[in-house]
Parts: sequence; C-alpha cells; structure tokens
Amino acid sequence: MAMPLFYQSQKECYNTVSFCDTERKEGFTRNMQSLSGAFAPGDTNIVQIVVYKNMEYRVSLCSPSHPDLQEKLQFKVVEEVRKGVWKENTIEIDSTYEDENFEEVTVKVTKTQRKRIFETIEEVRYDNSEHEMSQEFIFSSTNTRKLKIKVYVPSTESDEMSSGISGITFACVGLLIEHQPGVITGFRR
Amino acid sequence: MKILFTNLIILILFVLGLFSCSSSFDEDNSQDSVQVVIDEIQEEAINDNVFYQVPTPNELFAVLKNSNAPFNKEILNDASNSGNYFTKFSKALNFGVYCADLAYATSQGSFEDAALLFEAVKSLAKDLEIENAIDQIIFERLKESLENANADSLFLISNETYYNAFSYLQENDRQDILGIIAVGGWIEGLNIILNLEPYSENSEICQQIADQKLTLENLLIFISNVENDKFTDIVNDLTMIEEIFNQNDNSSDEAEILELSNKTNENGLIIFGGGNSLTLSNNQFDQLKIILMDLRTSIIEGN
Repeated sequence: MAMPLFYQSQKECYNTVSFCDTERKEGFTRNMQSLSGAFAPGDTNIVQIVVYKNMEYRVSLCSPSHPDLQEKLQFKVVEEVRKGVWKENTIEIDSTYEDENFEEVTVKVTKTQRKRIFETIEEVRYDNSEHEMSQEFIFSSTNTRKLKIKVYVPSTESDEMSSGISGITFACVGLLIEHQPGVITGFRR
Repeated sequence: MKILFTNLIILILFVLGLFSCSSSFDEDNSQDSVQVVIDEIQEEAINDNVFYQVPTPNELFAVLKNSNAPFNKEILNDASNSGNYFTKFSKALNFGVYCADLAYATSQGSFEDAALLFEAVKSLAKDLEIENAIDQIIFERLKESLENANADSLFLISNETYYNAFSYLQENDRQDILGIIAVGGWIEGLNIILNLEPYSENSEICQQIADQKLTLENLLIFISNVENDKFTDIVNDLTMIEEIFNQNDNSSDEAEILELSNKTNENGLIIFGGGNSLTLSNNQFDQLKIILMDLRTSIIEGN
C-alpha cells in the first residue's frame, strides 16, 4: 500500500521547483538537474549532479506548500574523493630458522602487514547549517565535477504538516538549480 | 696468564655470541615491519537512494558560447530529416538530437538555422505528444526573438523548450521517452564538440570533451531503467564510449590527486577547487570521433 501512496504524493509535488524564487534577473537560467519531490519529516534525499568548469550555479530550496519549513530546510553539498590510506593488520606466518644444532625449526611469527587502500570518502563542500540556514548557495568550480546535494527536511513541531490527498504526512520540496556562464579569467587569444 | 687469556677469549666469544643473537633478532624484527601491497577498493556504481541527474546540451553550449570555434552548420542534423522518423524510438532520439542542434545554433546566434530547427523540434514534439514543449507562448516569443535578432533570448527559449519537454515527460511518467531523448541529446552534443576543431591537448573544447566522461557516467545510470529492445544497442555503444574515456583514468594515482579546497573571490563567490582535471589523449579523441560519427549517423538516418 505504501508504494501507491508515495507515488500519489510525488505526483502532487510535481514541478514544485517552478514555484521557487529564481535569480533570472541576475542572469541565471533554470537547470534541468533541478528536482521536485515529496518529503516526509526527517527524510533525506540525495541528488547527484554534474557541474561544469567555469559555470556559476545557484542551488536553492523551497517548499511553497509549507512556508513554515522555509529557513529550516537543510542541505549539504558533498564531493566524493578517492584517498589513499594505510591499513594495518596482523598476520601470522611460518618462519623457519636453524637452531644451535643446525636443525630447521619452524615457528609462527606475527607480522604487521600494511596495505595501501584507496577509499571513497565524502568531503563536505558546503553545509547551510553553518551559514545561518541559508536556503540558497551560489558557487563556481575550477573543474568539472560531480557533486551530491543532500537535502534534509526536519520534523516540524506543529501537527499541521499536510496530509494531502494521499493521507500521508509530507511536504513538497523543490531543489532548484540554476546556472549561468561564469567569468573566465586570464588572457585568451 | 694463560688462564686470564683463556677467560678473555671466552668472554669475547660470549659477547660475540650475544651480538649474533641480537642481530638475528633484529633481522626478524625488521621483517616484522612492512609488507606493502597496493590495493584498490571498487566503489559501488549505483545507489538506489540517489537521483542521478544529467546536464543538458544547453548547459554544455552555454559554457562553450564564448569559445572561438567558428559555427559549423554542416554538423547539424538537417531539419528536413524530421519527416523521416517513423517509430516513437527514432522520433524521441532525434528530438534529443534536434534540441542539441538548437542549443548549438542559438548559442552561436545562427537565426536561420534556429528557425528551421525549432520547426523540426515542434514537429517531433507533436508526434511524441509533448506539444506543450513549444506552446503558443513560446512560439510567439520565438518569432519575436528571430525578428529582433535577439540571440540571448533565442538561447533561453531553446533551454525552456527542453525544460518544458522534460518536465512534462516527468510529470506524466514517461521516463522511457525522457531517457531516450536525453541520450539523443548527449550523443549529438558530444558529436558537435568533437567536430568543432582538431585535437588540441589543452584547449577548452578538449577539456569539455574529456569532462563528458562524468556526464556519461550519470547518464548511464539515468537511463538504466529504460526498457526498450532497440535501446540495448545504443547502451552498448555508450558503454564502449565510456571505455574509451576510461583509457586515461588516473583517478587512482594518489600523487596526482589535488587536495579539495574552497576559495572565495573578491565578489564573495565560493569557488570549489582541487580534485583531478580529466584529460584526453589524441588517440582517445580519434576513437571517440569515429564511434560517435557511426552512432550518430545511424540515429539521424532513422535506423
């Protein structure tokens, strides 16, 4: 039963981003990587986008259905990086040596094995909770890269979270991404 | 004296014996320390809880708008071909192709080509039942922009056209058509930038081509749920393209991974820095050009 109800709530939240305030007058254009969706209290959703080198991006959140959530929506911009780390583990191996009688003796010897392992870790590039819960963020990038935007809708204190047609408690949230060409510095032919 | 000498010999031998023991002990200890193996952990490619989004050709050409490459209309799919596509699959692929062509033409201010391409897009939109992609309002704005030779406005309209089509398809749960359009658009976009200029290792365009590796990775996940028999061949080709991009993958070489950094410029804009810059060799460029040409030709010929 949960699936059709979830499906219905997603349909109700279609195109929420179109109700988010844009910065069109500042030259930004709506980006197709924007997303709208239904969020239950305490939900986190993750969107992975590709940002191009030298493009400026504006990321903003809105919830027109729940104005009380404005200034409370949390988001982080994270980047996955592959880093080399040393991992140690202890192993036992057979070690053979000659004793005083020149006889071969095999004993168990403990050795430390160090492995170089490349792990994928997440580095937080921006966290709006460290910037007065700003609901928008503008940035540029020196390289084309993949970024993950993690959006978190906190639980509300009031019981007024809409139940909508589907009967589930949810809020429509829009993740609006806009872009405009950045300023390319340096000499050019 | 003899006893003293003998005792001295015994003492020396005893001390030498102690040293030899400690030497072998040290040798064992030194073998204890390090055995280094280089290993790599494979990361999971897909996470079900993550939405993988894809930039559009409009975004690609917005970046390249100010590049010095001359406009090459020969690269475009002839607008008159729009009448040659008879299956939904072929129409959706070429809708994506024409949207990419439109983004390119409008980014370069080519009004004549833009007008023809808009007609092609409109025609296919109707066939695919996504007419609101170019509704009457957009059409009026388009006419006005063409009459006023307003290149910036035209470029914005091309972006809106694509955006509207995408939104409509998402709302109406037509993810399959959406995926096919995205693929057609990406293939055409990459084909265009591969044919803008000869290979030049450090050029902006070469960098954009190399960067398409990241877009392709997301695209392959984006379309992973599209169910269409004809799509399988294209997906196989896209996988081969991915393999070409991966030929030069230096992401596991830690010595070249630059530390991530955030800087703020004088206008308060945060700039994400660090990380690896993707590269593209002449050989990869040539391989991509050949495979994209073949793939794109089969798409625009309606095969």
